[in-house]
Amino acid sequence: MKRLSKRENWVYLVALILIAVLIIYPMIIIVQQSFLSEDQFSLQNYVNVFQNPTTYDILWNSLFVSTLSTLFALIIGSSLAWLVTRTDIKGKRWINFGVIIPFLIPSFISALSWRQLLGPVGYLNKIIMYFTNTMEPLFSIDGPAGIIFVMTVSSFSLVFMMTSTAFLNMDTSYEEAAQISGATPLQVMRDVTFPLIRPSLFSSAVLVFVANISNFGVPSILGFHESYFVLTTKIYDLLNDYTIQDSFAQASSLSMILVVIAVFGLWLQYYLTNKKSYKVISGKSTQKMTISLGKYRPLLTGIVCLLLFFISIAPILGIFVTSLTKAYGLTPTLDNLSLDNYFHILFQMPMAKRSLVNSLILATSAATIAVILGTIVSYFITKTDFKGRQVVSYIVSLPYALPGTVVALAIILAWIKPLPLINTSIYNTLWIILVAYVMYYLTLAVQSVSSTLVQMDRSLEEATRVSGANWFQNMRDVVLPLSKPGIINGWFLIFIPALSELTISILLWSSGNETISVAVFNLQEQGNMTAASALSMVLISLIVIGNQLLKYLTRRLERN
Amino acid sequence: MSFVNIRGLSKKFDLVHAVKDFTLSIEKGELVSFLGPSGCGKTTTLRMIAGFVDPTEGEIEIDEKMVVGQGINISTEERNLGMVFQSYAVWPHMTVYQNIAYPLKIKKKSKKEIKSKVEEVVKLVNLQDHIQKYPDQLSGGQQQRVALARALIMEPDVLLLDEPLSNLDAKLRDKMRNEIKSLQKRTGVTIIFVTHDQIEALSMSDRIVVMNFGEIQQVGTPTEIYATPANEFVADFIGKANLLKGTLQRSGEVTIDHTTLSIPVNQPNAALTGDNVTVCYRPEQITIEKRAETNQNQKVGKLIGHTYLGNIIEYVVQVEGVQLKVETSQPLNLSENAEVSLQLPEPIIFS
Repeated sequence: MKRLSKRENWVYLVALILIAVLIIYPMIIIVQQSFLSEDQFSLQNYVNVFQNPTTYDILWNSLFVSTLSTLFALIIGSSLAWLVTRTDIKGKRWINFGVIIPFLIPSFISALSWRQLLGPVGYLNKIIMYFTNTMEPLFSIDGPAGIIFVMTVSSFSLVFMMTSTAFLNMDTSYEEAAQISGATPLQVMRDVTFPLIRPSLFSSAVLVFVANISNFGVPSILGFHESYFVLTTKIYDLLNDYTIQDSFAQASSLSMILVVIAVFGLWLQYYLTNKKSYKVISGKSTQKMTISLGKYRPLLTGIVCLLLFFISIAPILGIFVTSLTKAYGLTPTLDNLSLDNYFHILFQMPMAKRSLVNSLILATSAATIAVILGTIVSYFITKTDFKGRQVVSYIVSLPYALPGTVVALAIILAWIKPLPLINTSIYNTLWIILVAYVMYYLTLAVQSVSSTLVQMDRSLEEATRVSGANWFQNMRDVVLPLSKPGIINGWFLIFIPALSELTISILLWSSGNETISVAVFNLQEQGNMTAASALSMVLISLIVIGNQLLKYLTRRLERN
Repeated sequence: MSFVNIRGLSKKFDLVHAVKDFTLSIEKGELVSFLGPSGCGKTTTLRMIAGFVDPTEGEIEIDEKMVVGQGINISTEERNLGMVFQSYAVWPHMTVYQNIAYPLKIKKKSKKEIKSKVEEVVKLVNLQDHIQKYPDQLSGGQQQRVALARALIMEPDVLLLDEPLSNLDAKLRDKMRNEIKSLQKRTGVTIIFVTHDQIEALSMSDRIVVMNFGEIQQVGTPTEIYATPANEFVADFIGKANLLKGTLQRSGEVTIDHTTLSIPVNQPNAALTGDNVTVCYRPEQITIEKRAETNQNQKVGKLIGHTYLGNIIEYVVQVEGVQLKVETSQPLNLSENAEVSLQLPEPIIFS
C-alpha cells in the first residue's frame, strides 16, 4: 500500500510515541542512571561494583548455576526429543504430556514444591528421619545444587520442544545415506544426526541460558536461606536494603552486567538462526525412519516414565498435599486433611484475596492493551513501507529479551517521578505493574499478530480499497476479522504468563497491590507454607484453564 | 477525447525503472490487454491506474477526470474502479453474498437496493446457487466469478483484471475467456487486462499493448500484432517465429550471416540497404513437402527432427546452415535426414 492518507499516519504516530514512552525512555534512563553518581556523570558506580569482591562471587554464582542447568536441560531435553521423535519408545503421548507440565508451572512454584519435597523439613527428609530414627535432616535442596536442579527441571521442556521440531523436520534420508555407506548407529549419530540438529541445540541452549540467568524465583526461594546470591537476587536485595545510600545506582550498574549477557544472547540467537546451516533442517521427508530400541525398549520406556513422573507429577503432588494439610509439617494422614486453606485464602486472608483480583485485572488489561497496541505496530511493520519500520520490531522485542529484574528497575527509575499534569507518581500503585507488563509482553502480541498478517495476501486489502473502503473501513471489515487467530493467540500468550509473573512484580508491588506470585512469595517467606501452597494450586489451575481455553479457541478458529 | 488517457507514465523503484514513458488512450467499452513477460512493467502500470502505486511521473485521466498527475492524487477508494486479482482476493470470512455486496455496503446503499443489485450481478456470473456459501466451499472458477461480480456490482468506470485466469486449469481458462468477453459485450464496461499469456491476449482483446523492460513495444489489434510485429521482441513473444539475422544487399536480397542462404525480398526498404536486419518467418506460414522438382521459390532442406503435437506437427529443417521450424497439419511420413522442399512466404523484416 503506497498511498497513505493523513488519518492513518496519526494512528501510527500515536503507537510509535507510546513505544517511545513505554520502552525507549526507561531503557535510556537505566543506562543513564548507571553512569550517575551524586548527580554527576561518572564511572564511579561501575568502579564500585567491580572493586567489590562479592560482585565476582555473585557473577560466578550466576554463571555457574545457569551454565550447569543449561547443560543438563540440553542433555535431558534433546535425549527425550530423540526418543520420542525417532524411536519406537512406548507411551509417546504420556511422555509429551509429562514434558509439558513442567513447562506450564512457573519456576518459582516449582522451586517451592521441590523445597517441600526435598527441603530440610521436606517430606523425603521426614520419611528418612522416621525410618532411621534421626533428628537431623539428611540433606537439603537449599543452595546451588538445588537451584541447578530446579532450573534444569523447569527448562528442559523448552529444549525438548525446539529439538523435537528439528528432529521432525529433518530429512531422515541423510541418516539412511550414512547407514548405507556403512556407518554404525553410533557413527550415524555422531557424524550426521548431531551436526544436523546442532543449530537448534545451540539456539535452545542460548534461550535456556538467558532465561536461567534472568530467573529470580528459583535462586531466591532456594538461595536466600543459605545467603547464596546470584545477579537477579542481589539486585533485589540491594533495592530492598535501605541502609545503602546509592542502592539504585549500584543496582543499575549490576543490572548492566545482565543486560550485556542478555544482549549478547540475543545477538547469538539472531546469528545462529540466520546461519546457513539452519536451512538443512527444513527438508521435507515423506517417510520417517523409526529406530527400533529392541530389547532396551521396555527398560528405556520405564526409565523415561519414572523420570518424568518424578520431575513433573511429584512436585505437584507435594504442593497439593501441603495445601490440604492443617499445618505444615504434619504427617498428611486423613485426619489432618481439609479444604480449610483454600477457604482461608479465597475468603478470609485479605492479601490473598486481593492478589487474585489484582492479578486477574493486571493480566486482562495488560493482554488487552498490548494486543491493541501490538496489532497497530504489527500492521505498521508488515504492511506499510515506511523506512526503518523493522527497527520498531527490534525495539519492541528488546524488553522481553532482557531479564525481568532489569525491566522492573528501568520502570521504577522512569516512572518514580510524578507525572506531568496530574502531578502524582504511579509508583506504589497497580498502574506501574501494568505499564511494566505491557512494556515487557508487547513483543508477544506483535509476533503473534504479525505472523497472521504476513500470511494475508495484500490483494485482500487492495480489493477492499478498490471497493471504495477507506483505511479504517478496511481495518474493521477485512484486516481485523482475518487477524483474529493471531489476536486471540497473542492475548492468551500474554494473559497466561502475566497471571504468574514474579520477577517484575516483586520489585514493583506495594501493600495493597500484590499479585498472586508476590502473595505466594511473601507467604512462603513468612513460613506460611499451607496458604502458599493453596494459592499456588489456585494459580496452577488458572494457568491450566487458560491453556485449555486457548487450545479450544484455536481449534474452533481453525475449523472455521 | 478518449475515455482513459495515460500520458508519460513512469515509475522508478529504488533500483529499477519499472515503467518508462507509458502513453495510451483507451476508448469506452474497449478491452485492452497489457501483454509481456514477467517484470515488463505491465502489473506496475495496472497498479498505478488502480492507485496502489504512485507514479514517479506522468498522469492518468479517467472519464475526463484527472485521477493522478498535476498535483492531484485521488485515493484508490474514490476512483470508482473494479478489480479482479490474480489470487481473486475473495474475503474468506465473508459469504459470497457479503463479498459481492461489500462495495455497495461501503457506499451506504439501502438493504433493498443492495439485494436487488446483488441478485442481478449474481445472475450475470451464474452464481445463483452459491450466494450463502463461504469461499472455501467454492471451486477456483466459482471464486473467480465472485471476484468478477464484486468488481462489477458498483458499475465501475474501468474494470481492471490482473492475470485473472492464470490460477485456473486449461479447460476452465477457455471457458472463462469466453465468459469475460461476453460480459464485456453485455455490460459495455471498459476493461484493462494484464496477462503474460499470448493466447489470452489474442483471443480476448480489442487491442493489445505489448510491453518489455518497462516500455511499450507495440499497440495494435490482435491481427496487426501477429501479422505485422513492430520488432523482433514482439515477433518472438507472440506466436512462434524463425528469426534469422542477416544483411540487406543492394540486390534486394538478405544474406543470412555465416551461411550461404540468401532470401529475396519483394519490396526492400531502400533505407535499410547495407544494414543488419532480422528476417522473420512464422512456422505455419512455411509450406513443407517431400522433395520434388524445385522451382525458384523453393529451398531444399534436410529433415533433422520433429515433434508431434496432436493437431499439428512441428518439423525442424536444416536449410543451408540454418535451422527452420515448420508447422503443418499434414504428416510427411519421412524419416530423419530425408530431403524436403520448403516454400518460403514473403518475410517480415526488422532493422
